[in-house]
Amino acid sequence: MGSNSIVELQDVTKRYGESVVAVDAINLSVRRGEFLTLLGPSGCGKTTTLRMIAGLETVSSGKILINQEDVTYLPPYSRNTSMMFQDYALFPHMSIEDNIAFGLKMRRVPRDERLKKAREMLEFIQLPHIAGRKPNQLSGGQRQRVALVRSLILQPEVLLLDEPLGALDAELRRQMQVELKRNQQQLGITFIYVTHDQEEALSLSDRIVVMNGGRVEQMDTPKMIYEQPRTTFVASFIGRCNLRKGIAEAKEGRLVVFLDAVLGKFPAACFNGVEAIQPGQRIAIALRPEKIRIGREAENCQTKAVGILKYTGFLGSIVRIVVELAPGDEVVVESQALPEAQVGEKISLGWNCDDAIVLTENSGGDK
Amino acid sequence: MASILPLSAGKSNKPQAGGRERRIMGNPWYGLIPAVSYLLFFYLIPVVYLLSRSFKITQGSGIQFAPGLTLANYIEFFTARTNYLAYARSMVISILVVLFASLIAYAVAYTIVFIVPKRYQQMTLLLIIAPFWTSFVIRAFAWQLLLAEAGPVSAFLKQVGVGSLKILNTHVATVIGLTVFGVMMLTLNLYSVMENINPNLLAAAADLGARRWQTFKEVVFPLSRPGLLIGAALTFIISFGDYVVPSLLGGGVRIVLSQAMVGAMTTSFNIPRASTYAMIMLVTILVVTMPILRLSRVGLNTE
Repeated sequence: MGSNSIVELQDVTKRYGESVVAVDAINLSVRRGEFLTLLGPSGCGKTTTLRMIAGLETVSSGKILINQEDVTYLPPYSRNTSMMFQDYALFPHMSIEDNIAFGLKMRRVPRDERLKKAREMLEFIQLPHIAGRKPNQLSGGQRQRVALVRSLILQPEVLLLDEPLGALDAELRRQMQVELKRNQQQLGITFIYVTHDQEEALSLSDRIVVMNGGRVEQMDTPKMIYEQPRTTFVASFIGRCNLRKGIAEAKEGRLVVFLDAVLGKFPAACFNGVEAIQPGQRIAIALRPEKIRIGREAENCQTKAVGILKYTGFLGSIVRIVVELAPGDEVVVESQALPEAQVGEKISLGWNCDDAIVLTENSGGDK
Repeated sequence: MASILPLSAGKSNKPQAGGRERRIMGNPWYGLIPAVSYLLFFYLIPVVYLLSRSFKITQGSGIQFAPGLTLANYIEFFTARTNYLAYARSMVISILVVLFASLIAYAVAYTIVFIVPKRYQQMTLLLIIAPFWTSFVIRAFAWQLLLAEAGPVSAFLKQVGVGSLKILNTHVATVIGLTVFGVMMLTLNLYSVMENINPNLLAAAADLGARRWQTFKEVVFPLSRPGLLIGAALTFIISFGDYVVPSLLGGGVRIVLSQAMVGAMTTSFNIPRASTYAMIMLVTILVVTMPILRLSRVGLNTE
């Protein structure tokens, strides 16, 4: 946790009443200038975590540091963070320029100066003509942009974004994602971004923190999160995945001999954080649908299996295939080409040992 | 009415709600007939008739009027000191009531919405408006007991060393009685507007550097202003026109406008004079509340 970490959470816990633990002793270190995403299903504690960093929610125990300074008990207005809300929280009774200039007004910047700044901000988002309008006269995309620059006017070091694209339709959402990312890179501000949309998290983030049940399941780059998930929760929350439960028979280095009730023994790979597997332990493995080969391609794979083709779905760029290994035990495969086999016929499958990823079920997930 | 009936017959070719709606929308004015005719016959015509009597003078039994129109009643009103004193009392009492009730109700509503924990909010509000469930008259009598010279309020004031004050049968009691009512009225209005303030707006203000007081000044107050203004207008209307509280608590000596009006009817059965008072009351209320209500709309058209 060197000096390049701008926000640090140390065992931060949030309790509501006696029994509800919204955030359970989480540790995070956010690097200066990075785009960090808190990703998880609703109720996983991601928004609460964000609001604690902003100072809008009290911390039950633990510490929050911003620039190595303990801010755990500082009010929001004493922190150099700014928050962008899901519903944008634009002041409905103020004009757009007054909304944007609000932060400066609170700092007692004279009216002319702050309105000039607000207009510059409107130029920046290419909406100079809406200065005098009220928030309810704007479109969703315009509100989103206004909320962004209102948060940026005080030049915060950290911008906290609570599902800022949640209220937009799919097309606008994609457009805004690109815009947000570009702004973040241009301004060099640290973004801490909350979303439940895994695709958004994968495409925008430098690093992703996957949360579940108030705990951090995994914190890594999007690529690592996808390719080397550590827990069953992460594997199934991000992307599609075939989960198989079984027993670790033996362990050699980072390879585990996995005993599957249907497929028998085959090797699987342990990545970071799951080395502690003991022989005899019950584990799960993840097989990404696109890593499984079919037909002739399967012949060169390290692990092979045979099943019956149940369904073929042509999705344009890929073909989705469902293969039954045993009654009630199906595997989903995504292939570039249509299988040679017809539905109801036998089909061979294959994958390499690095594509069978060993998972633990540590954190308080409900899986 | 006939054109509305087939809609409910249900034998239409378009059974969906959309079809029904469109047919009503086609003749938008028919739907207003019941309401408009009700108001016309039971409200507007009697009121206009009554008010028009203010330009007449009685003849004979009192319900017959001399022919022609006259301003004599108005001249009488503006030249007799007792009349404009009554008017001034009504005005001062109403302004004080609106002022006190606004201050108290604002504090009460703010506390309920922003300080009392969510799960107790409904109950607290219920307790505050509970007096609404009893009759206005009963409550006035109850205040008589409380404010009487031998009553608990006097006893308390004597205890704390203020000395014995005469409250009952003065307009101090009138103001107290009407303020209690106004507080309930205003609290209800303020509660509903404050409840609708998105909590994220307060969070956003704090996040952008606003202290608690600034958040109040910049966000909470402007957004609750419509409720305050509408509540104040309603309180003014009730205070200015009320007869029960000034009579039961304020005593019958220094009369207010409503008492003068009732007096014109009960002691001299002078319908034109009573109508004149009513007309003046109506005009005053319109002149005072219309700008207030217009002002409140400034905040209303923003979500």
